[in-house]
Amino acid sequence: MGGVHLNAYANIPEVEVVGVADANWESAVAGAGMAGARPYASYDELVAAEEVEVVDVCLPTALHKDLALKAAGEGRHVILEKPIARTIDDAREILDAFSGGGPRLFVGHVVRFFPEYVGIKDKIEAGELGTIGVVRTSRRSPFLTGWNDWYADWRVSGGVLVDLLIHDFDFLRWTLGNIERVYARGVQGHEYNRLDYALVTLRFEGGAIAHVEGHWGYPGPFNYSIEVAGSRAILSADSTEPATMNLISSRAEAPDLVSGKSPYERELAHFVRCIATEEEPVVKPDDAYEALRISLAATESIVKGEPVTLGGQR
Amino acid sequence: MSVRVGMASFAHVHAPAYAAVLGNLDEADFVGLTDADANRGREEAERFGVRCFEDADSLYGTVEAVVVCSENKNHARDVIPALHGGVHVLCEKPISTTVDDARAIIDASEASGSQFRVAFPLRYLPSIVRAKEILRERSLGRILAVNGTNHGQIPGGWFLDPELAGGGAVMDHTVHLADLLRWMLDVEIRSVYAEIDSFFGTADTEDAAILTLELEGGPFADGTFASIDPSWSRGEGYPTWGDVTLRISGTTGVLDVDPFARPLRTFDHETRAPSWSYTGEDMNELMLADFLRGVAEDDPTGASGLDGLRALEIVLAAYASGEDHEPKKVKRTV
Repeated sequence: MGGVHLNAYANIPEVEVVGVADANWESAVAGAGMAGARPYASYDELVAAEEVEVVDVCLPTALHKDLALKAAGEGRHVILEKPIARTIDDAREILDAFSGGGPRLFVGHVVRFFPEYVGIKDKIEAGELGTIGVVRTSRRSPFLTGWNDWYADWRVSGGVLVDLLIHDFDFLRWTLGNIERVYARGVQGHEYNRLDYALVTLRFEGGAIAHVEGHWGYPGPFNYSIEVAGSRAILSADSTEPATMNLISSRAEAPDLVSGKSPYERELAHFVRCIATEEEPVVKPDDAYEALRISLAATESIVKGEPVTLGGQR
Repeated sequence: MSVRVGMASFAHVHAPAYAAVLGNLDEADFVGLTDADANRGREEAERFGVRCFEDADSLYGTVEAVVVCSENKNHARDVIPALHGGVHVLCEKPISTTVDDARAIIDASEASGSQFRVAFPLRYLPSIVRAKEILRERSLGRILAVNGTNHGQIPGGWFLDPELAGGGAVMDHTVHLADLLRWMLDVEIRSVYAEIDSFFGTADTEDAAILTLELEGGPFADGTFASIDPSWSRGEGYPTWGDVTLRISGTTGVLDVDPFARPLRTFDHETRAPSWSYTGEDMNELMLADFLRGVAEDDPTGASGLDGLRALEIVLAAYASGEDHEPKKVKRTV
């Protein structure tokens, strides 16, 4: 994810990447090379040597808290990759550290910056679909390989519910409001290696029902889909449909076919503008906290075999 | 060799399609029909060029087999006398609205020796048959879960009367996928959790639900889970009647089954409406031919009364879960 963010920053003129720190020196050097910045073996060395206003944290999830708290204590703004933290207590400590009106926190719930998802939210809010009844989503990804294989360590990543489906949970809560009740089934607890799968049912306070599928270790390319059925209209979007460009050629490599700005670039540019202007971000820290609560409630539901009542926002 | 076959009631929307098949099938000698609604009976008999019998008894005295398409609640009323009269029965799903009725039907079949089959035509679709083979071949590794849908439009008439239909979308659609899960994966359903509501325009019954089922037994999927979305979430102007989809995810492969996929897509410039039409195999024809072969050869195939009862028990567990938001163990009657 660090590389994705560095690519995005390269297109945001307001940002100067001054240093890249990674416990793996080769990664630090590679990242610094991408950004035209200096590599550091640790965060402490980086901030000791450079003047840093904003820290972009792409650490394994369970390590978010320590660095976020340190940066907040030093008065630096933090852009934190989602999920906000691995546990609700960690998330609460992070929120508290940024609640004093000083440094600010921005959590990277990037789905809020995908034009098609923004379009869905706009249509729902404009009433074009009528009363929302049943929403179906699916998000499937090959298994990711991170530092020390941390995605495969459930205690660090939280599995498909905390790392992948939190995207859909956040989008659905953003669009349809708070969630009353969660019921989930998944393979968590089975001894699968580098594989996770879950089906989640959400019941919203406003009444709607959502069915969320997540597959980590999917044996095909990453994909997502969503269908929203309302009393007046039904809409769907599916990433497996042909995109704006499809190149079939034996002679050329497929170029980056994403037209315009990537969602990551939109997201990071928005956060940077919020820092510069004191504008409220599209993703507030509380939103990231609530999204994690949904992921953890789904996890709890799988463990208990019962629905878990969230009962609105905390 | 063809079987003398009749139809009892045209209350169900599938009845005309079955009648059209029976009129053309080599295996069938479509003799006539009866209907408690005498006007409807006369009209349908005229339309299909068959005799209209005044009552069920006179029809059952003439035919070897009957297809029952009455309202869900009236299945037992129409099926049991046929079985006792020595007439083999194919009954529209669900088998009944209560466990007692289903039990009485199964008992009547056993006592009389007459065959009783439930209309689960999805079992005959080539993609479903092939999917079952793919599971047998273990091509997906270990099964993780099944994500299924059977969407539709809101029907009319008695389908919206909970007394006659036994419920709404959950009763109407769940049984199809519940039967496919049991049949394809060789499992029973241990428990069901359901969120049930009405959003799309029904007044007295539900039109939306998400069911989560825990699977039990068999060689592939013991202890795994499945979801069923039986919602009537396709509106009146939707380009097609709905869908049946199954996504079977395994450790090494994922199989998406969409038997009605790749329709002809038409756009009508005058009505400004799109419509999608299916051009594949006629599942009703495959099912009816199989039923009549089973009658002719005294070798029943297809879904049994017990299969129908098991599907009904899953629906009843879903309704119970929808009431208090607790997962319900499926009560399997012996």
